[in-house]
Amino acid sequence: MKKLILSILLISGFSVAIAQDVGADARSVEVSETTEATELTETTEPTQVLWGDTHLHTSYSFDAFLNQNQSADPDTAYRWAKGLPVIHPYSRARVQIETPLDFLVVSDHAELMGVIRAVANDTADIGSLGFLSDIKRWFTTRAILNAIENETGKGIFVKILPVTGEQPGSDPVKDPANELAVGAFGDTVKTETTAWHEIVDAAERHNQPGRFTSLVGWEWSSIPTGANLHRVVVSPDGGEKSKKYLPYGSDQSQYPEDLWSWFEQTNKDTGARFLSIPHNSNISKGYMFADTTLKGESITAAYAKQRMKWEPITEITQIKGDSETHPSLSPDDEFAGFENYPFYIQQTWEEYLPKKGDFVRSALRRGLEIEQNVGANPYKFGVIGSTDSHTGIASAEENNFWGKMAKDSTPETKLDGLVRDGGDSANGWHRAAQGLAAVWAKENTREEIFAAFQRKETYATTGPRMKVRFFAGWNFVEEDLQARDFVERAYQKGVPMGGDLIAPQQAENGPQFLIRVTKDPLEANLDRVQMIKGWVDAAGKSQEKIFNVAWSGERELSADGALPAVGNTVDAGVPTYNNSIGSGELSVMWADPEFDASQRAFYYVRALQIPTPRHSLYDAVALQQEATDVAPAVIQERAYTSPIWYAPQ
Amino acid sequence: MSFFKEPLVQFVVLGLALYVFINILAPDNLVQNDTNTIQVNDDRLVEYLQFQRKSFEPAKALQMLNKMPAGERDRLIDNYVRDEALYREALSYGLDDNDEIIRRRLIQKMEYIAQGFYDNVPALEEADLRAHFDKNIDQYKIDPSITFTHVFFPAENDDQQVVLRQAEQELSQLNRKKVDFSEAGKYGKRFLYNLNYVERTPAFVSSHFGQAFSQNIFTLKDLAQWQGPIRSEYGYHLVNIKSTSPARTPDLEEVAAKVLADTQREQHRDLKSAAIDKIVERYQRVSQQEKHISAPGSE
Repeated sequence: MKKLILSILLISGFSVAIAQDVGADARSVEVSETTEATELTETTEPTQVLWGDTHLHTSYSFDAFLNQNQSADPDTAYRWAKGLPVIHPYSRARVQIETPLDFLVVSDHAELMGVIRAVANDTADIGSLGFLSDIKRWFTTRAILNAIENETGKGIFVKILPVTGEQPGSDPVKDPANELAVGAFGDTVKTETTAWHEIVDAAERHNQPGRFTSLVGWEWSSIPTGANLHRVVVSPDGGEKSKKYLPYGSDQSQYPEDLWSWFEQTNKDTGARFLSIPHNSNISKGYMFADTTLKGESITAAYAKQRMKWEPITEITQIKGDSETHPSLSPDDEFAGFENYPFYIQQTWEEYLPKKGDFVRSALRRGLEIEQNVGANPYKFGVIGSTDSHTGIASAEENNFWGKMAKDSTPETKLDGLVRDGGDSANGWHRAAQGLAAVWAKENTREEIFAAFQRKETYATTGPRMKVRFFAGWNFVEEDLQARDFVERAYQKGVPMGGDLIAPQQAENGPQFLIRVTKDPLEANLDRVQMIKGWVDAAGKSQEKIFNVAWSGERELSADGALPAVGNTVDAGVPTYNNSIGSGELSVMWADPEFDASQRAFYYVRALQIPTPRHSLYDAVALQQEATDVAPAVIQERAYTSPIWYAPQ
Repeated sequence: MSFFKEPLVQFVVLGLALYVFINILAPDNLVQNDTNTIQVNDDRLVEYLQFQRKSFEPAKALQMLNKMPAGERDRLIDNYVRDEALYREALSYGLDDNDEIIRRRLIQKMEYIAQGFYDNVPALEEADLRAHFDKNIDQYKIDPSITFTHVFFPAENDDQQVVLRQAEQELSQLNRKKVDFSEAGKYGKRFLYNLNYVERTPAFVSSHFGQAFSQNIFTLKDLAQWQGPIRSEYGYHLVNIKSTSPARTPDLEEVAAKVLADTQREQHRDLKSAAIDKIVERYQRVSQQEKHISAPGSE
């Protein structure tokens, strides 16, 4: 029998490369008893949590290559995600993830996809531009090669970044200062096609249904006048369909509506399915979740529906900062000042001004207000976290963090920031070692993960893998929370995160929420669980409020609902922490004491860990320096769930 | 006639004859150099259109070309002709000479061709796989693992001795009633992580239960009945082990797919570099340095 299997492999193996590396977490095994075979699984729950990164760049991205990632390709990315040791593209050190991921999207920039890599390796297949432009290109190529050699690629990278707009607040695409920086290389279609096919082939090689999932994707990098409107595009389809198109880039259009129309058309033409995930709304200058469309038109029900068809989830946290909220927008939120990243991606310095259109919580609120007026909500999205690492290495662990760009991966080079006139610039210490995408899926396959994205049954963490269950319903009882079949009951009687709570005919009481948060077995204990509520009041204005709903230890809520801090076990000199404070698990059945059946609302859960050392503290200790003001020594890692929405009948 | 024996005169006459032949007598196709004709046909337009559209489906491109309104088709042809003319003009200026990018591109094409040499690779035999497997045995080693279920008695807040006694009583019950592996979920309290653990390594078990528990359970031998209680960071556990597997080197058959992929990768790499070596061997290598060294000796 075994011999037979081997010979089948030998025959069939030549047409397909079989990549069978280390398996990921989700597992089941056939256990054969004397007569029958039964499927033995670790959990009987209808969904399992899968961990992944939907946003990872490799050497095929122009900016990754210019910043010293010349070797970590999609293959490296998948091998790291599966738990294998890989070579770091800058330090050349052997690096390895602590716990493998369950899925990964390699999402290189569509613009100049694979082109800088090909130019530097002299494998570019680019058409002629005419005599003078060819000479210009020749000089550009030389400049790039020199810069890479001298590790000053960042300088070139900055030169192709956008500049501040001349007419802030109006359509940034039409701003006179808006200029697309691609084009110096001429017709790069052949090179990009080769690159895309290589990226797709790598995904196909590494996809192992049930054990590890690779999803094809890319980044649409629209950034008119420095307003970051970037989206990661993800498709659940395989190589055959994916090779029928080339990724749509912001060089084709900087308007998201055009990206969505392209989805519609390409889906008709090829059958390929898509969704796009906005990210770094925190540096969008108010445009990502604005109260109008990008063109400045008022938001209609049709626009809201089109947007929600293609953008069911958004990336709430990543290396370039956290986009949940900002202290200036949520002054009553003591945890709002977390990994804020006040640096626009552009050549010129510009003062950072947080706006309602920049953050997830204010967008969820704005969505309710718009829905009240036009009947549809353009910002009814779920959340995930991801890294946006450009090193091919999806690392979100504070003590095992390998940088945003390849060059900011060592304690010394992390401190080389961009020098810009007028103000501070970002360096590796400003950046955050986060985050991850958690997905409640029936099984670890492309179809099931994509389906979970679409129904928003997802949540985000800033790195640790805490398990968060969150349900809402009208008939839960206290006993359900403690029951062994808690999850089955919760699905039966309620809706999970990402769902809609529909009022029953006669609702005498408000809804109940079941929450259970379990710590990452390898990580710190939990401090508290909070419910974050947003609603529209009688005047049509949105409000927000934070409720502490479960916490560790013997702490008491004050009259205004505040909870004393959990404490801090971090020894900054080592650095280390211990789990003598906090809880392994926090769970609660909670009812909203202020529930008003006539008010539109959303609820989402935020769970916080006890304080732990930040990645910059490990660097400071290694450098034998004090941790500076640039970055806090200690952070409280957290999870954010997708909301559950309530709408009155 | 010594005049015609002068080489210079012969040269001039021959040159004149050639000039007359080419410019006055010769057929047009010799004069009208091929490089000045740009052929436009559907095949070329379909190829050109695919690159313009960034979509590579010839049938669809042909269909699109056929449906194209005349004006649009004319523009496509104009663009194609413009590109082709510039390309040929560049060739005639010799712009491809000494161009590092073109040189690299040609090298890359040769490398692709060299890759083509292994389209007809010799089929791998089982012996090849075994050789690769034996040579790289360290890469295929498997960690120890265990498959078990457990019944949990939390002891974080309660009296340790009371909980321990409860667990011991339950142990004899479970064994007396011959409670099956799959029934474990009906006894004890819910544990914060998993109920069952399937083929898990010591590192994984210790992350969920603590190191002491992990060391303990991996020493248990009896698979027939419930055992314990074993202390973890959270309380006491009665365990039922389905199977254990020691650290081991697998049989080739078990990891055949991976070994096959690895062997193929190595085979392709070897074949490619052999093909390139063959080309390189046809060239003689003359080193500047050797010349200098040999020059004094030969004098």
